[in-house]
Amino acid sequence: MKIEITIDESLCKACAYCIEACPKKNLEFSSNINKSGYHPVRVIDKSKCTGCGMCYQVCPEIAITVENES
Amino acid sequence: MKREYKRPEGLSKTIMRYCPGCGHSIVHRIIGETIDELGIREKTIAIAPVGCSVFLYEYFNCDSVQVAHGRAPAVATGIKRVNPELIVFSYQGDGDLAAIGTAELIHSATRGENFTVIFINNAIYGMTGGQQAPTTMPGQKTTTNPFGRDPKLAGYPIRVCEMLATLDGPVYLERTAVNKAVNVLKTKKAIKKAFQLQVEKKGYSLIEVLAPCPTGWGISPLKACEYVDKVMIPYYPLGVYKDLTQVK
Ligand SMILES: Cc1ncc(C[n+]2csc(CCOP(=O)(O)OP(=O)(O)O)c2C)c(N)n1
Ligand code: SF4
Ligand code: SF4
Ligand code: SF4
Repeated sequence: MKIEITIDESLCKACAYCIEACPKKNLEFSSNINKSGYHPVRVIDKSKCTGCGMCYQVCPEIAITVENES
Repeated sequence: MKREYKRPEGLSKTIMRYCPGCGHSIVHRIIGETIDELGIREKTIAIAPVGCSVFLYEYFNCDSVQVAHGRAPAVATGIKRVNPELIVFSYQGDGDLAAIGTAELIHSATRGENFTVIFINNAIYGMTGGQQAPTTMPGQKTTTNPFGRDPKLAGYPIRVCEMLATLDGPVYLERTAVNKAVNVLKTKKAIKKAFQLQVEKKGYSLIEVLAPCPTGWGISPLKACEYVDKVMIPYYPLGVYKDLTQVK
């Protein structure tokens, strides 16, 4: 099983939808500031991600990409 | 099995300029995925409205036309009748579809034109700065109802799906929402079904999507999603209002 989650920080507008949607509570705002002035979301612990894709489903900016091979 | 959740080819690479948490972007992605999954990108025509989604022709990776306010169903009718092999969808906000464009909406529905309408009900005029729409909730504050919409003065919100369900023309009418993951998934299912039935030449469909407009409503994106749940859905129940796909 291979799970790969990537977040394009430059696209994130910090709406917090993914943080709310993640069943593992595995997403949070980072302290970085992106070029649009937002604190983009980051994954807390990549090894805890189940690859469910809920964060992708709610992200308006398509900032999150999830690959799940099982 | 490999599952990939990534930007669909049905969308261009252009960064969407909607506000944080805007429902338009989520619905764009759902339509993009649908276009990919049905393999219809080369024959799809998007009709862009006037409203915040006026630039959708930049965001979709298919041919499109941007039309006068409210007239998307009229233009969609023309394109579809001239070339029935194309897959045509109009994409319209509540001001565009249920105020200035009411006539085009109702008459294209009752004619049973074979195209798909994606109707974004965010209960406000987003683009022009948050004025009352026909779908604004009773009590909801807008720039034109600073004390909240008073139905005695401004009338009651229009339930578009229920209204169209009285007509014989439409084949499939459903109301969904994009305020949380489970509803996003249901919206995907509904939009894909609507496009699929157009591919099968079954007739007119409209999917009404309750969508957050955090900026227009003056609240945070998460609060806006909660507002959809607590205030909009009780007035605009989600569900299928008409489905003749099995008998057509
Ligand atoms: C003929 C005409 N009348 C009025 C306007 C001004 N106008 C621009 S967008 C809009 C309403 C947009 O609201 P809605 O359709 O709900 O879309 P949203 O911006 O909320 O997505 C209006 C009245 C216009 N552009 N053209
Ligand atoms: S894929 Fe699922 S578990 Fe992983 S971050 Fe996204 S929502 Fe959380
Ligand atoms: S849903 Fe997307 S835009 Fe919103 S906070 Fe998460 S990554 Fe950022
Ligand atoms: S004003 Fe509302 S509808 Fe328009 S882009 Fe902003 S959140 Fe979206």
